[in-house]
Amino acid sequence: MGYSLVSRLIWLLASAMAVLWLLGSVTAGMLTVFEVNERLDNALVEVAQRLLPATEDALSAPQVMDARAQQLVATLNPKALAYQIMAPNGWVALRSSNAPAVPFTPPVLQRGFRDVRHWRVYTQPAAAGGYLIEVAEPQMHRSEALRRAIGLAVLPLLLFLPLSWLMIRWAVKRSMRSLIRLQREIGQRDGSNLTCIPELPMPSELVPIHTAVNRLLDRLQRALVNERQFAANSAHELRTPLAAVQAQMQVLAAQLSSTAHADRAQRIVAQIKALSNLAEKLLQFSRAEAGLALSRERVDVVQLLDILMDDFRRLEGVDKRLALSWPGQGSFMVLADLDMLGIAVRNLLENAVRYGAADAPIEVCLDDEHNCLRVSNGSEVVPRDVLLTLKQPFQRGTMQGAGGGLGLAIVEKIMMQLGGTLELASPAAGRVDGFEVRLVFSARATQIIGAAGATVPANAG
Amino acid sequence: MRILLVEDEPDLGAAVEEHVRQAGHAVDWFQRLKLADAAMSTISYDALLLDLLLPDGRGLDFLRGLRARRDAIPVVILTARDQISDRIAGLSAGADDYLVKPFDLDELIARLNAVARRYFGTTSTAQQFGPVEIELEARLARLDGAEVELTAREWAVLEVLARRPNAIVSREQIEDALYAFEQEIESNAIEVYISRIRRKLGRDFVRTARGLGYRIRS
Repeated sequence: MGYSLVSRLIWLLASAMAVLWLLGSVTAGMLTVFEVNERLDNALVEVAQRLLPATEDALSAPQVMDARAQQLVATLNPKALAYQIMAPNGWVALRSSNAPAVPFTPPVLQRGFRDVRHWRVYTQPAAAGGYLIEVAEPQMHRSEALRRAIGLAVLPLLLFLPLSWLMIRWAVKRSMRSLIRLQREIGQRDGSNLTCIPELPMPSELVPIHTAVNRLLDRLQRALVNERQFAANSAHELRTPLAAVQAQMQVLAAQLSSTAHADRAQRIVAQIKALSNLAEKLLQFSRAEAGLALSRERVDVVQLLDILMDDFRRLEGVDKRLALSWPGQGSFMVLADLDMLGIAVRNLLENAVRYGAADAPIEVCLDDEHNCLRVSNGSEVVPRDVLLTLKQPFQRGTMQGAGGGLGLAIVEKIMMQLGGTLELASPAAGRVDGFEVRLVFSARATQIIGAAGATVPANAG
Repeated sequence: MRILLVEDEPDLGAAVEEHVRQAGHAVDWFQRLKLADAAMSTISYDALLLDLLLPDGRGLDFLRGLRARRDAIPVVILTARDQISDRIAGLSAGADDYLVKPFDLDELIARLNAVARRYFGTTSTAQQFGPVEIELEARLARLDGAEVELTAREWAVLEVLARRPNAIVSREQIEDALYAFEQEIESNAIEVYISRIRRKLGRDFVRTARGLGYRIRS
């Protein structure tokens, strides 16, 4: 089973979109983290710089400095930021209310950022006196800010993902609509419908396929018609002179009946009949080789058997031996070429009459349970190794008869083209001897129509 | 029976004509449909042996034409077309039987007799007319169980009557049957053969319908 082009395109495009979305999200997240950190760090630097003038009063007037610092910080974010003004010996000279009493970091006269437990700290040396200004922001606050920023950047993309999948699906299906119509049209073509595909609105990429398929269908149709015509003409051209020779020879044999040449004349008549039979088989073989069994129509096998069995019943000693068993009573319909299926069934009946034991019945059975037609005749058990060779052309096995050895090869070719199989069995089913041939039709090509006209789906065989 | 044979292949036509004649039937053989059609408009045939592909048309169209004008003559198609669909088309067009070339001439006679039997409503090969028993295909006549010898001409006349038991058979129909043996039928030929048949099978076996013809009662 092949894959669906539409599904594959949808999944490929959706996967590519998801990967791109992931890359975009990661990039957006990284940029957001970078930008937010930079902004928040800048805020720390800004607060530290605003506190810088306040440190000038640190020694002389600590209350003034405190007031100044409070005023400055109030304009910023007193809940998020804390500050400490630290003496060179590590004593916290001044701090915001939310700052701890102990220094954020050990006093190091170095400007810069540090991450300590729970805080992001910026250290700024004061202008004089070796004092340090440390402005800190709780890590939790920063993490929350980052989470919010990343969420705002990525969430819209997350919503966009299923939407983009739906859009891709719609776009692909819409684009593939003409291809699907072309696919449906081609899918409807089979042995019973070889008409050209009509003009369809389609993209330029599909036009060559449409043209090529139509050209192929036209060639196939013409080839089948030509083959059929050739087969019919060949049959006519070959059969008519053979008929004339046989008839003339039969008249002559009748005229010679009381002479010494009568026996020879009868032998010639017999040879002509054998030659006619061989010519018929070769014509049937060439028809099967030409693929004429590929065409399809609804064929009622019951009616077909009526016509064919009527022919065989006229043969001496056959009428009482030949019986049809069809428990279904109604029609047994198969999709096949009527003439080619007729050739197949005729060959089976011929073989049964020719090779079957003269005192044993010939049973023709339609089996709707297994979608098959069985023809069995009386005979000794055919060894398995012989059975395997019987489908080969010009093989008669151990059987004696006037056949050309082509019958089963013809039947097998026809059944292959019908999508069915030819099965041989010996002993016949339910017997200790005999020979049985089965034409097994595909369940899809078989339909049982009951006696009352009701259609019954065939069982999968 | 008087048979119309339409076959364009000369050797086959000649052989069939000869064999059917030897089987005791009168045969008119034509190689063109046009001539066969003309013959059918003047002569009442008992059966038609029809080829399908002829130089001046298709046998099936000819057959459909016959059936369209309600001509019920028994028709056996003789053709090289051997496919089931051809056979179905032939039977659908109104043929009574279908024989594929090459065929056995004896098989042809058997089929001809079978369709004639069906046409004339005599399903049995043996017919009983009082003390007389007739087997048309075996060409046997018995009176009170004893076999009676009849000449070919007497058989031709008897067959026409036996195929239409209880019906009046006109002089023209009997003359058509004798045509196989004599190109010119003498004016009293019919009476001569009827008289011989009565002598062999009984005076009351063949009844005369004055001014109309003859009949035998079953």
